[in-house]
Amino acid sequence: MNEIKSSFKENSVYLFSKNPVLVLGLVIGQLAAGVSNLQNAAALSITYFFVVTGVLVFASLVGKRLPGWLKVVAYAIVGSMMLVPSYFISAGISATIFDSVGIYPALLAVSTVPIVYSEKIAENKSPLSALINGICIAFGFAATAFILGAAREILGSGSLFGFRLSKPLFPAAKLPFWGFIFLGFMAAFVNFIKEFIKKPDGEEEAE
Amino acid sequence: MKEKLMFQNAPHVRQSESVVTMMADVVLALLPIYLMGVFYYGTRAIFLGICGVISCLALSAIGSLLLREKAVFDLTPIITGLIIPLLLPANIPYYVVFSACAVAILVVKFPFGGTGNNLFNPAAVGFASAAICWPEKVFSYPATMQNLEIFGEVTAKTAQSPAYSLSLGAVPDYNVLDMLLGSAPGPMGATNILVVAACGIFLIVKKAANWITPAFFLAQYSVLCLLFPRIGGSAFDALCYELFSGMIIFGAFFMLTEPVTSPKRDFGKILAGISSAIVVFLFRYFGKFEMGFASALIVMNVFSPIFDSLCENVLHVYRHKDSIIASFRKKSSEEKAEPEIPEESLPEETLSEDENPEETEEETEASEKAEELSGEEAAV
Amino acid sequence: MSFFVKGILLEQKKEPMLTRSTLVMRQEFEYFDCDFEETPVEELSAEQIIEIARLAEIVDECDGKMLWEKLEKSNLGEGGTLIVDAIDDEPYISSQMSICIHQPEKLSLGIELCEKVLSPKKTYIAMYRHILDSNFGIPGKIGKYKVHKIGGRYPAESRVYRHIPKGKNSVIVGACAMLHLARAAEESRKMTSCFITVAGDVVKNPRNVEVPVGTTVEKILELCGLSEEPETIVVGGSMTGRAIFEPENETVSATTRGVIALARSYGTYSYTCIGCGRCDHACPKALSVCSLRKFAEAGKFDMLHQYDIDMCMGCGACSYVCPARIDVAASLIKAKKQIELAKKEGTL
Repeated sequence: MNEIKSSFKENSVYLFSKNPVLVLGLVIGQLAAGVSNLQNAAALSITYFFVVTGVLVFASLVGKRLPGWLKVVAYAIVGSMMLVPSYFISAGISATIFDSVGIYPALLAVSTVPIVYSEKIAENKSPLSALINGICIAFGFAATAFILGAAREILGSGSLFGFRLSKPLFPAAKLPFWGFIFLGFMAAFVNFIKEFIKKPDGEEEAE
Repeated sequence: MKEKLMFQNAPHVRQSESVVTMMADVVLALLPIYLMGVFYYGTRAIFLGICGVISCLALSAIGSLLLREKAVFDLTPIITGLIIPLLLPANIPYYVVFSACAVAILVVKFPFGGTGNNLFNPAAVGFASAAICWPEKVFSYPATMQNLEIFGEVTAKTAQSPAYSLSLGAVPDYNVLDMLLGSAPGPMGATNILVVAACGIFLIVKKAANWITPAFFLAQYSVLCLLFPRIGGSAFDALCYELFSGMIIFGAFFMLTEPVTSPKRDFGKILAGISSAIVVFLFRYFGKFEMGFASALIVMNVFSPIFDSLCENVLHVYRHKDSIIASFRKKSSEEKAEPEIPEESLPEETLSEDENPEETEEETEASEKAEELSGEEAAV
Repeated sequence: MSFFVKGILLEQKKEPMLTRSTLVMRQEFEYFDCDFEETPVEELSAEQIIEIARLAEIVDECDGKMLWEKLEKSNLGEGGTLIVDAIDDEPYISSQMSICIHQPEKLSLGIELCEKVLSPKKTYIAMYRHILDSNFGIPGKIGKYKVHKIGGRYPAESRVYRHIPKGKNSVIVGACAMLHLARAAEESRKMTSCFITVAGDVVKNPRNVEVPVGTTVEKILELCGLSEEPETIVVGGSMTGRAIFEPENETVSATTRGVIALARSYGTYSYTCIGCGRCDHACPKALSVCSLRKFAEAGKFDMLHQYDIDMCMGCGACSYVCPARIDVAASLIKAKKQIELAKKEGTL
């Protein structure tokens, strides 16, 4: 129990101050282009959750025993296999969600965290702490994706999760160009908050 | 001499031109174009300009606040605020102008560092985002010689612009003289070619814009239009229609010459002019809407540092040509036993008086002397 | 706008200092003894002339070196050139030109003595020709020596090397040093004075002066009179000099060419660089000044080296043309000093 608590505390940095998208800059392309409304954001977050937790746990269980040349291939295969449960779960959102979201879940399956991070860090952890690590990284991703998807959907299509709210104010917000710009502004905002927190306390606060 | 003396860095004489005088020249050059807009479309033209200027000024004040720097009043937001409405048709609603200005100032200028640090031309990006959001509003031009309402819903007779006709492969309804004088429909500031060209030449003479980029751009674009005409008839007619439709002339003089985003070296400017012409040509021929120029400009803004460093690499080799030639000769001829770089024995081309000088031993002496004289050393 | 013409066109502002006579500050002469004092000047040999230069402690004002060392070590060989530097291409400064105008006989004598030591094939005096705001005409000959008029834009000093026939050696000496050499040979006088141009809009009586080496700037300005308190005092050339704070403690030497007292400092603006590229145009060495300044302020020494900051002459043409009044030249010179310091310390 204590181990779980301490693990959660240690990994809580991945929500804000070491957010995988806004601070570490990991899967920016997939987010900017794929997340144009809230449904896509939900689908991609579910995919990322399954992929990351699955591969990290696999790495901590089996990783050390694999030879070097086989590791990357094995992680990529496991990541892609985790797309199967995520497909079934996100089909609950909408039947055609995987068509509208396109190639991006597959790209998430072979992104940095499953391939590189698992090799460097997750292999040295126990399965439980690797699981918690994966959950926290996925939460960080999901937070960013939800905010981004909601903003782009409200501005770009005037709806939220498919329910029409108003006339679209800024139709270009659906385009990937504006996705990158929104992400840039969000990253700047996170940086601003981090500096703001650092100043009065004199040390970094991990939220 | 008991008062405190002020410090100033060498050199102690300076020329009297300043950034504000350069920008004031650009503002002055844009005003006649607005007057022509009033002549063709009524007083709404001036109100659109005022809306653009006020929104840009207010937003750049907010931007300076966010950057936590003291707001320096230079005229660059005014120039952006004046150029953006000129790219839009005269019956555009005010909120479109405001959103284009908001994008230009808050997304392109301030996040990258404010004046002097923008990566893309703010007016071009603002216009492009407005064109993507509201294409039916931005590309439907009113017919000329109508007095449009200043506020409220604008009801105007729209007409097809020559650029659109050209993209369909049809000869436009207006003859070349009409287009020169501005009687053809189009973006508010880009149709009266004579006035625009005159203002552009004024800018070049006052040295607020450089002559190299527009000249090479127009030359290369003309060559491409003559080689691949879109309409039948005489080549000269086709060329005139191509050059005078859309925002080619306006963009060449006012947007291509923006100092921050264009290359700094002359040869880089030549390359930028030529490649911009090729990219604009491709966008206009194969593009869907008539925003070919703005999109091409955004693409070419990415390349200006590349042109600059290309130029610098060439000049670097030229500056060190003596030592490079000498090292080749030393490698190739082994019987010469000369430890020093044999600068005196090289056959020198006689340079004309004011060309780039090469580094010789005597010049190292002079540079040492100049350094001694210029230095902040205590004892001379 | 041109591709090939580099440098800047400067208003020379040499009047009224150029045509007024040189004011001599009261000073104590110092003399030296030597074995051949009785020998007439025309019969001095080369070694004797070098000895005279050494005893008189003559400093050459164009590079600060001792004249006798220069004469002894130079080996002109066949067909060398002796150039007498009277180029004053910075605004206000005319200390070397005034010697050519007001004391041509002594200058000729000095050059003759130099010729005996070095035996050059050609000798000429170099002067900058573009004194556009003065009616003064540069003579074609001074004594028996031809005056070579250097044209072109500021900085012109580097252009004198263009006129040397390639492949031959040359020696450059200053005009004031020649005058001191003539005085030393004729009267056995040591070099105790130097020539300075005093100029500026608060100076009542701007002219060239001859003052003892080591005089304070305050005394020099009192000599010429001030009509009001200056805001800035500059010691050195107008383009390459430095502003001083304590005129009562600052002294002049042979290489100080001028003292300029200005009513107002030129004024700085708080504009940022807009990338107009005028500095790149003005640089006589065709360096990419705009990029160099950005690297210098960011401290990127390897990029500075790649962009050839070592070739910077420190002439100040880039700062002159900048419309935002950014101190470009000062940043580059400071960066060069930092690089040298880092090289010496071994941290580069």
